[in-house]
Amino acid sequence: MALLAALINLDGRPHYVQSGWFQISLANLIVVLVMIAVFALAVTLKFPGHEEPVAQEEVAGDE
Amino acid sequence: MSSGAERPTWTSHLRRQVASMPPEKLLPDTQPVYVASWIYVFGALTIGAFIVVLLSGAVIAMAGPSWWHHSSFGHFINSTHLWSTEFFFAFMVIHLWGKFFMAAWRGRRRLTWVTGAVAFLISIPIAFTGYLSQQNFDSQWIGGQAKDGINATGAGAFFNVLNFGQMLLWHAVLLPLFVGLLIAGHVILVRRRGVVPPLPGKGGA
Ligand code: HEM
Repeated sequence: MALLAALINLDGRPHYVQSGWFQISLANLIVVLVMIAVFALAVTLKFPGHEEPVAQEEVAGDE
Repeated sequence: MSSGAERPTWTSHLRRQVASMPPEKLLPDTQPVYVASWIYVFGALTIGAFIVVLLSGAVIAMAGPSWWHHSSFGHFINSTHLWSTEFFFAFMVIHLWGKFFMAAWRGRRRLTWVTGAVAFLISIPIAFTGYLSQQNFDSQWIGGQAKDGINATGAGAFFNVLNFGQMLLWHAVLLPLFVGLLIAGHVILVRRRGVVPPLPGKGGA
């Protein structure tokens, strides 16, 4: 635990990323980027257990 | 009293509503093929995170501030409460992105979208009142900063950010109750309408 805490020092000054009027803390930026990465993986990665093609009729919409 | 004929009463209305949602529709074990994608998991992940938030929050609320500030197990459950909240918001927003890009409000699913959006909006003041409930210098400072703005709107008369008891009531009881009810309605609506079919693709799905 102490090792983990030593890795990220929370007692120092926070880091910020700035571009003109736009400013975000590094911690928030990392969270946003990880969320976008998780979203991209969720849309692209194959869902397990659905190898065999299933009848196409089921896909028909109810619009 | 004649039986059989439907009378326009709230009981007969409710009976019809309940009858239209039999257990096999409420808890299905199959879904259309297009639901086999990770993006459909995020609504359930959000519910999972919400349950951890509720359980960890109940433990620290019952044990009290001296426990959550001064014992290592108290710190652990307090941290569990914070991190499950972080996951709740992250999962909820990824869920929102997914539903936005598949335009999941199509086909009379407007209210599903609206209940989700309102649950999101109410979750934000849950987090804010949570920061006010910490019982440390941080929460005092936040309350001191927030009071002037809120008093300027006139709401300070009944929403007093310096009143710990009131903030804890909103944070731990009232607002979570609203969100819990909204989530229940949201999921019942999803079950009632069925999962929205994918958007028509170019040159056939
Ligand atoms: C409070 C947090 C929320 C919880 C616990 C939650 C839960 C769920 C669950 C379990 C589903 C079905 C499974 C799925 O498709 O993922 C669902 C569907 C849906 N959610 Fe949420 N949701 C939440 C917030 C939101 C938000 C913020 C929005 C958008 C503003 C939203 C919009 C939708 C829509 C439109 C559907 C229906 C999709 C369809 O009919 O196929 N939800 N939600």
